[in-house]
Amino acid sequence: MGNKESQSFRQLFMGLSIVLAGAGLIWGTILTCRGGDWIKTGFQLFTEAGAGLSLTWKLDGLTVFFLFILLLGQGLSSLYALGYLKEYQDKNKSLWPFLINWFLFLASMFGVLLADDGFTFLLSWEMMSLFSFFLVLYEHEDPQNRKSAYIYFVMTHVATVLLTTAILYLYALTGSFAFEAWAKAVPTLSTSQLNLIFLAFFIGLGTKAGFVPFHIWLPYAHSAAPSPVSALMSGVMVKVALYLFIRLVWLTLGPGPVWWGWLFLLVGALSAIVGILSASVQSDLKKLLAFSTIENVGILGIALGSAFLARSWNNSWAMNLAFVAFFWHTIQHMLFKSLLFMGAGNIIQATHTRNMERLGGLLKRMPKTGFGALIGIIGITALPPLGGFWGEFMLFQSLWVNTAHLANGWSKVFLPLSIGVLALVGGLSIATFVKWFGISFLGQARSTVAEKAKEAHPVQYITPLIVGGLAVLSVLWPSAILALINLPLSVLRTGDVLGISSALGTPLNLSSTYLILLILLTVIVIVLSKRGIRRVTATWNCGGPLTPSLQYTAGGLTNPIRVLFTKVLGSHRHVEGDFAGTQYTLRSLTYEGKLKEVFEYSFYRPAIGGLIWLSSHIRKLQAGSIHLYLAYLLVTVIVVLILGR
Amino acid sequence: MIGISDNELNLVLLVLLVSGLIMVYSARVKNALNWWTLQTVFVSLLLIAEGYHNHAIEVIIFGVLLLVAKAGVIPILLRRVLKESKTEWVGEIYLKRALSLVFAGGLTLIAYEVTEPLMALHSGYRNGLAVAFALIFYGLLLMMARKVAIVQVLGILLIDNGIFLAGFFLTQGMPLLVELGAAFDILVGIVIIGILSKQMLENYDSLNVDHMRSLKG
Repeated sequence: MGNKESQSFRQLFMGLSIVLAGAGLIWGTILTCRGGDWIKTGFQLFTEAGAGLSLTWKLDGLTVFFLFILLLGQGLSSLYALGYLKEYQDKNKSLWPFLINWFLFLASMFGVLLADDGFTFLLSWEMMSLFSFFLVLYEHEDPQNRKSAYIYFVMTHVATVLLTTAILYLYALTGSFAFEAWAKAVPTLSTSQLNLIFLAFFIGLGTKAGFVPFHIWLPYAHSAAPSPVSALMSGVMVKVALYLFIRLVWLTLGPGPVWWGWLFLLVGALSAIVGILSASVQSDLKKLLAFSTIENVGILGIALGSAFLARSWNNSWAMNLAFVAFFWHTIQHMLFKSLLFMGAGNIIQATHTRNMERLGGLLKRMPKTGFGALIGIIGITALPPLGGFWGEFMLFQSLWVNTAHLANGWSKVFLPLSIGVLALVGGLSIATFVKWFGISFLGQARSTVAEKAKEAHPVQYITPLIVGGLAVLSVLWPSAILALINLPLSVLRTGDVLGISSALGTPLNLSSTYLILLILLTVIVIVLSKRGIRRVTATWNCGGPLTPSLQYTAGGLTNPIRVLFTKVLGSHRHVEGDFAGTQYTLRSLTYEGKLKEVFEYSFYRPAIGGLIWLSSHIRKLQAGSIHLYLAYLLVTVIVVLILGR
Repeated sequence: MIGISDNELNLVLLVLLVSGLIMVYSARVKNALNWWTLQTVFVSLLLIAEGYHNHAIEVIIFGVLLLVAKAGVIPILLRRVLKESKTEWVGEIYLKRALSLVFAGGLTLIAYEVTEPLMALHSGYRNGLAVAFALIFYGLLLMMARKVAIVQVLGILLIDNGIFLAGFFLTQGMPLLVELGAAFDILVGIVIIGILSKQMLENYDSLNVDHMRSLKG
């Protein structure tokens, strides 16, 4: 397709996507504002033939919440893609694979959210995996991207095997695919059966969500995909997997034993720590963001764990808090992570590198992108004025309320530890994003590509600013978001637990007040600093010339973290000095630092090695000798005849 | 199907079994082929005799067809392939002729063992079924322990005879159409194998199936 044609198709398709998303949002808002019983009980669509015979769909409050996120993500990412795809068009790369898979990917996510039976769910789920795989593979010219996509493909299929097994097992036990029928039959199942199904769901969905240790595909796939796709995958697809935890585990499998909650909490805490630690030492612009997604999924996992524990301890107060924190953080993370991926996309298009060691000084050259990214960073590191803070704050509260209501015992010892984990993660995430922003945007350019960088296409910096605006709006007008969060809560609330309003009461309604105070404070600071004396001089550098090599490197900035957590990160370094005669005169110094994907090396590599070893031994059966094959035949015939006697 | 007397039946069965054993033991492909032809003639004769005793004209017709198609056409086709490939010896591999005969004896015992519960009937038929299974086993043994592709074909033919006999004794007369189909099937199979062995000759210049190892992926 020609360049002109390509341009019109890009505008047509992405415009259509934006319009559809906008229309869906408006229509959905009108529909939900009108209210009705369907939010709680669900509204079934096209289900005449019933589950198993036709695809069945259902719309309820929980779905509406995630549909909102999906539509918002769709609209924003499409708007961004409108600008981002221009580069491919200029390179004369065919846009068809992108445009078609983009739509199909979005449609399949709608399918997963609306599915009301196991079969429909699996079908849409597989489509979602497949089309996102194609999108990750869009820049297939780079062998590294092909490898990333392949890892994603394999991992997601292993996960689907488990999901399929669990769903078929449930079908065998209940004779139906419908979620409702499962929920009804669950009380009749034994604990071990439930545990098995739960574990299969946990691993299957956890892989897609990016829980450690099933996360290894995520940093590869999210960084290899084109930036709008990364934004959509990180912001929305991961949340779809979390939605299914609520739909399939919370609502269908029911309360379950206490250890389910502990598992969520433990895996969540592990993901949060491993995610942020790995993120802090990355020097790849997008890989860092991908690891940060793992961290945030971990935080959401802790919230789910807290909710599960509160449910089994009958602590409705903590449960509501945990869920409000969960949904709030889901929205906020979607906004901020999309924003940051868009910022990263702008940098990549401007410099054609993802390596932070080659960036620097971009704030002067790309001020608008930089401003957008700054908003995203304040949000994602959970600094107070923006929404990231409020979500984590409520999560702290939920964990604390959970702990406070416990009788003395081991649980009371371990639960506060997760609060400590959350605090550690918060601190590390600030270090991480200071590095992300500081190394790429501040200081001097570390390479010529960074020096020659130019501000991106207007759409590409306006979209992040829109996202940032929405994030600010969500804090200024929290009651709108809370009304949205109320929708899934009305589905999840079982009977006579405490009213949601009491759980929501204090902290969030006050947030706007806090924000007004903060704005006043900022204004005062600005006014005061304007009046003060400013001196503009050259940076003092002990008298020597100021060169880019005097700055911190991306690796150096977070080196303390890397040294502290050597075991977790699997880092090792090698310093080699070239001395001239004595050890006091140094000619040159080379530093080589390496990071090992610990989980990849300690778990996946041995597992794959074992599989290959086993296959090579099994392969001996297939020696290629006809005589051997015939011998198998003879032995088989005899054995069958003897057994069949 | 009380037609042929026990003695006649046992005699035919003896011929079938012994011809099978001789095929396993034979050193030249041509001999094995001749013995197979003899065996097939006797299978057809068994069918014709059965039809004669039961006054079932279609069984007789089928027996005659079998005689012509299997004992007539197939040996001619195979002999042509033999001549073209200048194959003479069966090419022992894994098992020498004497040892394979011992194995064949063991397989005969197994055949009697596995057919024991299948036929609590007439002693003649009981033997017949056991011989049928023994022939199937011989065929597999022959294919397994010989190198030359033509011997593999003979193994298949031996198995086919065995299956035919087993069907004959178990069902006591399958519909004519099924039997015809089965016979036609093996005929087509042999034609295809003839073509394939020509291909093999062109590629490897011999009919040694060991060359097929290079096809392994």
